[in-house]
Amino acid sequence: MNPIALAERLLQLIPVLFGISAIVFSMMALTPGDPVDVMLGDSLATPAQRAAMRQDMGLDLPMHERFLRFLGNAVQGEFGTSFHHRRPVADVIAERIPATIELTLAAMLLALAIGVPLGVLAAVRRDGWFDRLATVATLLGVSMPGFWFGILAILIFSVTLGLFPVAGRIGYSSEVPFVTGMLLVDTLVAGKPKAFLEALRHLALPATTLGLAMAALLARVTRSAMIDALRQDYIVFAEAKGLSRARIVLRHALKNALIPTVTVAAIETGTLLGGNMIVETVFGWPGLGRLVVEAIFTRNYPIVQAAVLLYAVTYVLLNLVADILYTMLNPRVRL
Amino acid sequence: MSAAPLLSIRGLRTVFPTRQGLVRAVDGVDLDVAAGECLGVVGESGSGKSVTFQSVLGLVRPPGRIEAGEIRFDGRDIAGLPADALRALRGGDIAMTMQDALTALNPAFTVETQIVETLRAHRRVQGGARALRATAVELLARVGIPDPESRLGQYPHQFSGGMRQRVMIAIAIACRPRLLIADEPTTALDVTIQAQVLDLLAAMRAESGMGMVLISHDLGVVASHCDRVAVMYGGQVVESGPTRAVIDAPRHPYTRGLLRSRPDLAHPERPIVPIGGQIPDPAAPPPGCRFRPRCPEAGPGCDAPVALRDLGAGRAARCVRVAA
Repeated sequence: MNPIALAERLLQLIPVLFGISAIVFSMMALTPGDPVDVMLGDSLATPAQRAAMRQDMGLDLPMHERFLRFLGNAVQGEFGTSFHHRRPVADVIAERIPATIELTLAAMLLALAIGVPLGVLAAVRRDGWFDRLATVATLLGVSMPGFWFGILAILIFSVTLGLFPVAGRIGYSSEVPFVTGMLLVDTLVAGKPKAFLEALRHLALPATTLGLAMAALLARVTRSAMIDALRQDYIVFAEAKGLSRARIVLRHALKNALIPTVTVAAIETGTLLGGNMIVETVFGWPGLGRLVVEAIFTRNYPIVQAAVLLYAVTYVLLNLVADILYTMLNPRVRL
Repeated sequence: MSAAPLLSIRGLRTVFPTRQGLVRAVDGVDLDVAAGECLGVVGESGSGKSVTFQSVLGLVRPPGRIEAGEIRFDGRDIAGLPADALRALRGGDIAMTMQDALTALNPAFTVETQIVETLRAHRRVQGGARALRATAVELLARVGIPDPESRLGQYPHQFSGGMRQRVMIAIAIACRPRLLIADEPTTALDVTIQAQVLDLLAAMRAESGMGMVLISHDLGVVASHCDRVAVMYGGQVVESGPTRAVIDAPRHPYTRGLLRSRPDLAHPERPIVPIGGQIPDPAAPPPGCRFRPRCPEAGPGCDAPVALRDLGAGRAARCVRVAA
């Protein structure tokens, strides 16, 4: 990808971010409910105290002025103070990001490791029993809601069998020095294999819940792309050249078939990095998704706005990554 | 023709089960190719000419299968050979080029990869990556691609149509095959490029002494480049013989029809007469002669089964009206 095209794509971010900010800002402002009421509740605060607090948080200004102020600060990387935490929004979000990244990477690795081989095998054994079984399984995987599967997994594996913890990222007894914020990495860096295993056990169920659904999606995409690739003339020609079946399937067909798979995987990674609100909530995973859910319920505008902007940036960047991978797999495409 | 042909096909029947019934795409084909000889195989789409040679290479896709017949290569029956033995033969002793190099070459790999993997599969080059690369450069040079060193790293889409066809030919001849099956080598090309590619194929054949099968729907292509010709219709060979003799004095009505349906530059005043009707339904071919429903000369006796009859002088025809 040449630098001009790259710069162009990054410049496209500006109008996207502006538009998203405007939409999120107005949605939050138009939603009934008042952060001051949420924070003070039915306490004995006087109307004067409430007004002072509102003024303090900048909520007394007209909407357009608040939006402009938000934009002005955001451009300088300043996202304000979280109403609830009384700390800078950037700090609160930064704290939650590693947990979401860890969960996302684990889920995506699992999804690729299961989904791609499953799709390839189903395509090669098309209409055989394996393919039929895989089709049913992936249909289930795609259509099963994450919260239902997650709760089911907790009931079976945590509550009944006691194999995995119910929630959280690691036990309270483990102290892990902060390096990357991803516990699997940090525990290893600190040389604490016990804490590593504990973190892994915590990660297992949420990662599997997200990973299996994603694996099902990737398997379906890979299968149909492989079936299409195996039908092409270049496969016949590869056979006529006397290549081995393995090379024909795993190189000639798969490299072409991976184009749609990689695109879907990259976009899905973008979605996951935004924090999977449902799965993070079900498993009490202290990531970005759960933070946003909490923030929406408490009308914590600054957190919601900053998080949504972050989603947008991640999403656009991951799409860019997908495009770059696309050009690597498909030499006909030049960005 | 020498006593033991390089390739000898006898009674080949290749079938495809379909909803309409069993389609006999190839139904009792006999063909011979001598070493160093060029056999032209002519016929309309659906005449079974491509399937015949896909059967030779074991490239018929399930549920299609070879139901009967014998395919001898160099005296050895290769029909129904196990996969490994067939793979060694494909691209090694028997190579194939396809109609359109744009779709036959894999778009995701460089030309170098696609040549080298063939060499590797047949272990024809001693030495490592450098020797393989040198052989690939040499092959591109041999098929007339200018500046082969720098083009080796390019992808198929970066080549012009004619150059792509040359790349495909380079891959096919990479392991010095003894038989090259060229399936419609010019159909996808501009007219000006067609002659170049045919000349290249002829030069490669002259250089290496390999036998060649040139499959085409165009009698003109076959006429100028093949020693012998076999005309196929409805999954059967209807006429075969030395090219000149067949074209000058066709014995089967279908061959005559083919010749009349193409323009003749030597006699531009001669009208072009298309063959009326359509090729028969492959799942339910007419009894007797397959060409009877379209044949202007059909008469009593044509609905009885008819065999390919030897007419002497290396010629044969499948028609009851032809006297030996």
